[in-house]
This record gives sequence, structure tokens and C-alpha cells, in this order.
Amino acid sequence: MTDTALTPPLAVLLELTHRCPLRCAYCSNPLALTPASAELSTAEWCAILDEAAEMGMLQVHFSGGEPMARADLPELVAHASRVGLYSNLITSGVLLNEAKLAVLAEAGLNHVQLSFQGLDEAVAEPLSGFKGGVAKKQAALDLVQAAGLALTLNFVITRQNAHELDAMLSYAEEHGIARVEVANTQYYGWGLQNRAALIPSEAQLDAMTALVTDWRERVKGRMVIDYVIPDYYARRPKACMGGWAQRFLNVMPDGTLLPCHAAQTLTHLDFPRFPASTLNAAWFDSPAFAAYRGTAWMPEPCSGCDNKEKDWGGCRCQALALAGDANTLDPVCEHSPKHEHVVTLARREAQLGDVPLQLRRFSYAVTEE
Amino acid sequence: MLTLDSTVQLAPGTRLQHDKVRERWVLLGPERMLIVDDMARLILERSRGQSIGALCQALAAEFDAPLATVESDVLALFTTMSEKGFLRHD
Repeated sequence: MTDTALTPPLAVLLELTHRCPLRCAYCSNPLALTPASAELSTAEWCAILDEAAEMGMLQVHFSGGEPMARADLPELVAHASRVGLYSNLITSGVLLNEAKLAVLAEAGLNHVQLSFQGLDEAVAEPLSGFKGGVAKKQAALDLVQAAGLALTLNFVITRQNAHELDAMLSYAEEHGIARVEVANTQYYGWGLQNRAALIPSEAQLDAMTALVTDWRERVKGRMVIDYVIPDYYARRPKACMGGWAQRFLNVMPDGTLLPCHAAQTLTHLDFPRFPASTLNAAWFDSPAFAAYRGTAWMPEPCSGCDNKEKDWGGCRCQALALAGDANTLDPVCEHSPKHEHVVTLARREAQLGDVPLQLRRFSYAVTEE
Repeated sequence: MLTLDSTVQLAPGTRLQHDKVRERWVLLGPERMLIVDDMARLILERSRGQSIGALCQALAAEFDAPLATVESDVLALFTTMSEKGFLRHD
């Protein structure tokens, strides 16, 4: 991909807030969470939605933290509808009730993605630091279905709940769910901090893969199952975000504009921030977005690799975190000199059994209304 | 299993939208997108309220094309869309 072929992103992911009632040990938010006082205003988020639609983005994902912790969420959803963006709410579901959902549906929300840390409270509670979450999520599922909204269930997989996968998929099937994500935790941010406690073994992963393969065949045409593995056990890295700054633009709670929600770990890059920078200027003109776009930046052997336009060199954050250099090979790639070391470490960690979890530290208290 | 007797409809949470910047039509669904060409769009829009068999007969007559070819093309298109979660069928 060259600059002349650069087209606008397809979707914008808004991390409206880092506040969340849950304290998941695998949270994808940065370790340095943004306080409420630094979050953008309603008017600023609306201006971002306006620009996203004008640029040609088609979808908006409202994420967080817990996006429902923002009281202005219905206003933002309504604004997204007005400007023609397809809206998706990525939620834990624990703040959802019938009245709030009705307001969101009325605002034109297109889709809800509801995450589960498993179906067993005894497993989910220690992972999320939230008591009674499973029951609240199951209630949220019923509400979303009763409201007639399209729903995806997102099962976050760690070694604590991997054995529940068959039960999770059965649960989805019983509820007539059209789309399920079986999403192994990705090891960034809090997830990386807790990798020794969370990472499944290769045997667990093989069992999951076999199950997903069977299930996909069985529910073909009724239920779509998206499956994300921890890429430590793959031979080649994943195409992170479909390639750095090629498809997605992320906005952090304070307006920082990123090609990926984890990119702030790359402290050598100076990421633009809204409203000082427009989305358009960030995407097309900023050196930080251009830094790893396409293939020109690639070291050997990436630049001569047949896969270079499939995996786009993998993940820069992972290269930095695991190999100590954002400009080198993603060490999950079998061609990386660090590959053996990194994979051996993950394999060892997967055998450690019970390791104490370090739950996400800054939290948001739930208040009953 | 999709047959000529089936009727299809867009799955909940799916919509057909004009992508004005890229000058094309797309099916938008949860975290997915499918680019639809003019023929696929026409077939989708005509599919409403009739069986796939009836739709194919109408298309074959209108475009003066062999019915068997139209049927296999339309079934293949709808099967792909359905397996990707964009369509529901009876």
C-alpha cells in the first residue's frame, strides 16, 4: 500500500471513557487510565462523529471502559444515526436496564456486543472483580433481545474459563444468537501484566480450535462464530487492526487519536490529539500514523516475506513489549530470533496453574438509580 | 440449507448503505462489511417478499439469461451472504 492508495478508515472506535464497574485482569485499556476529568465533552464527541462520517467512515464502535458510564451515550448514538454511521455498543451489560436500553434503541443503536467472562460466577468474578456479573449479563441479554436489537456475544477466553467454551456456545445457540466472538485475551496492557495468570496452554487452545471447528459446521447459516487465538501459539503474527493505520481510527477518552487502542505504549511516536488535530489530518498527514503503515518501514526479513501484505508485519506494540524494539519483528513470528524465547516463556506460564491476578486498579463505583 | 423455495431477508443489525466517499454500496453488519456490486444489490433489493425461485425466474426473463445459471449464481451469492451472517432465510 502506497500513499497514493491511502483511503479513509472504515470505522472509528471511540473509547468514550476508561471508567468501568468491572476491573478485568485482561482489560485492553492502557495501564495509565484516563480520569473522568480529562474526557472529551459531548459536543467534542459529536464533532468527531461529524468528521468521521464526512471522511467516509461507515461504522462507529462505542467502547470504553464501559461506554454506558457516560450519561450522554444516548445523545452520541442519536448523533451517529443522524450522520449515517452504523453504531455498535461494546458493553459489559452490567449498567443496562430496560429504560436505558429503550432510550438507546430509540436513538437508533444498530448493534450491541455483550461481553462475558464465562457463565460460571465462581470463574467470572475473580477475572472481572465484579460480583454477580454473570446474572446481570444474562439479564442484559434478555433485555437486548426483547428490544429486538442485533446482538453479538463476546466470550473472553483465558485459561480459567477455556473449559467452559462448549457451554458458552450452547448457551448462545439456545438463545438464538446470530453472532458469537470467541475472543482469547490479547496480551497487551493489563492482559500482558497478567499473562502468567491468564494464558491458556497449547492443549487448551487445540481443544478450543477443535470445538470451534465442529460448532461452525453445525451452526452454519444460523450462527457466525468469530474466533481469535492468542497469537503466541501461531507461526505467524496477526495483521494487527488489519494493518497499522489502514482501516481503523481510535479515539481515546481525552481525544488522543491512535491507529490502535494499545499504540500509546509506543512512546517514541507523537500521536495527534483532537481537537488540536482533526481526524483527517491525523490519518493523512501525521508522521505517527504513517510510521508503520504499509510495508516501507519493514526490516528484513519482513520486507522480503510473502506474507507482508497479509500480516503487515504483525503488531508493533508486541514487538516493543516482547522484543524491546518497536521496529523489529513481532516475536510471535517464527522468523523472529526472539520467537523461541517468547513462546517458551508463554508455554511455561501456561503451566503455572493458579497465579494471583492483578485486577485493573482504577475503578468506577456503580450507583443504583 | 438455502433452496429455491427459501425467502431471504437482511439479518437483524444488517443494512445496505451507499458508501459515498468510495462510490460503492456495502452491506454493513456487526464489525463486518461486504462490498456489493450493482448486480448483487439489484438481486438483494428484488429478493424482498418472494422466493428465490420466483426471483430467479424474473431475473432470467429480464436479462434473457439461462434460468439454471441464474439459479446457481443467486443461490451461491445468498449462501455466501448467509454464512457470513448478513442474511436470514426461511
